[in-house]
Amino acid sequence: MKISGLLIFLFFSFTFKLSGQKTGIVSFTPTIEKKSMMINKPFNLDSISFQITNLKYYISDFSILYKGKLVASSSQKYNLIDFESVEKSQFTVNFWENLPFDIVTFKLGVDSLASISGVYEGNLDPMNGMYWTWQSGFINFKLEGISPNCLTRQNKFQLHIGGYQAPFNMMREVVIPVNHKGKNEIIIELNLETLLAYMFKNKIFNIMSPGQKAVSIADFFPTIFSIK
Amino acid sequence: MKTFILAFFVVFIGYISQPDSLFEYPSYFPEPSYNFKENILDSTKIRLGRILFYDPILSKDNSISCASCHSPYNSFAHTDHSLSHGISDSIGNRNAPALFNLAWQDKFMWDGAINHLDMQALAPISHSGEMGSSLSEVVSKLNDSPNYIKLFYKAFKDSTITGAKVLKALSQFQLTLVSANSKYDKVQKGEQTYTEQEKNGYLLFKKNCDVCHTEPLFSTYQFASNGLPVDSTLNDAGRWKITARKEDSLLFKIPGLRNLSFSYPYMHDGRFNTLKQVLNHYTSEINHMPNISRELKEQKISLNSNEKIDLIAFLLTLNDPDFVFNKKNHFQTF
Repeated sequence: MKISGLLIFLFFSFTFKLSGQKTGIVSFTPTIEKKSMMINKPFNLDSISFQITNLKYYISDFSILYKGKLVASSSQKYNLIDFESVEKSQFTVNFWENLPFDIVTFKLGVDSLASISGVYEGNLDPMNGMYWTWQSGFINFKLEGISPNCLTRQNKFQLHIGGYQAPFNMMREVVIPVNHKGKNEIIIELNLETLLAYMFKNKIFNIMSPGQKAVSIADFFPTIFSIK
Repeated sequence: MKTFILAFFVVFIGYISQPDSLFEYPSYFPEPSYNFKENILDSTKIRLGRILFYDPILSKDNSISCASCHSPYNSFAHTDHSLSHGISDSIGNRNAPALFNLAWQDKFMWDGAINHLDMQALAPISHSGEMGSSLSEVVSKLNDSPNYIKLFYKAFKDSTITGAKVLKALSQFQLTLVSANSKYDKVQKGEQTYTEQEKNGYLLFKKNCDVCHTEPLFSTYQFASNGLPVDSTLNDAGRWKITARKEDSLLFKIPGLRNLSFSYPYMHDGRFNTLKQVLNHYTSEINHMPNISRELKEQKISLNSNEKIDLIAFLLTLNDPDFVFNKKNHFQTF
């Protein structure tokens, strides 16, 4: 009797869930001074010309909150955002229809547990080019490009920001306050101008390992995301 | 009751899913540190890993395999070569270490740069002075091979080859490289006895070496400076490069001492060809640098020539020909 009651409860819960939930899309879009940034397209910032050729990063534990309570989250703990294509710069979450939310939060990077636990399939597969080969650890954020202002080989800049061990743990928490009614699309802008200006001003054009230079870049992460 | 039966069945399946026959070690060995639950050993995966290990397809120009620098007859080291070799006759800056008892290690490479066996193969595959390729390039080549597609399907029940599957298969084979049947082991098991010379060597070993080269694995697998002067042609700072901590300067991984007859030359840069040279270093050639290991700082190793011979006699009891010449570890193709 108890088992049949439980089954009826589960049936109605599932039916209710199907009617109340929608699949929403979280998409990321990079911007430079409010203009959309496209991979391999020339840009100017404070009269410095450059092109970004590769921009990828990990988003972990993506969550949407209302009054401190979780209302939606990504089904995948780790999402890899890659601006090579639109499809790779977004992921899905389950939204409750018409439910408001006031916080979008996530971590930029991969946690230390995944960094020491061996190899994973999917988004964390080292085949994605987001895992260092000469030492262990994920690259949390990869920004590559060219600029005549970079006096480096082939005028390239390459920022590979990663590392999981103190004092060079590069994962950063991002918390974005918002005021939204339930909607099925969230567009998160990555505002690159402050980070790029810092890079050009300080001539930090190559980061390939955890260290103080990488920390100075990672410390931008909590403040460069906003909701459109 | 049904729940209990189901739970019992799940536990039972879990128990039998890791066949003991694929990974055996003596009772006096510690528990392995490798998490087998995340990569349960399976004979088809081990075979696949073994084929990959011996296949130069892992290198950019299909010329270098893992076995090129980790030969089974040298206890998976590279005898006669002080530094590793790579594609286009390139030469690396470290001595290829012997590969055995990897399930008991959680840091790999001489500087501990790699934190998990599954990730270790990425380093040589990608290094320009070793295989000069990339994991994605390797996966692409394997996906073009009908033989490999079949093997991966057989092993993983999925014909799509991924980087993770390649690395897990390589780990599977390497995990089975257990060296535990040397004379030392046979003495431990009561099957043989030491000679008087070996017995004396064992006492000297316990007094002078055991604290870093701890039985029965003959290493703590930690990092230490053993007072080797820096080779100015390499300027290798060891673990400092990985941790960026000054106190880790010139620290290298303490190697296991099994199979020394098969795996010379010795040290991270292969500078010593004989065990006698190694013992001479520890007794009279140590460079007392600031961060030399506490053990070497506190206790000077003093051995006369007879004692050195006795100690070497004991070290030779750590040779494991059953491991080195075991055909199950040797070359395998499709």
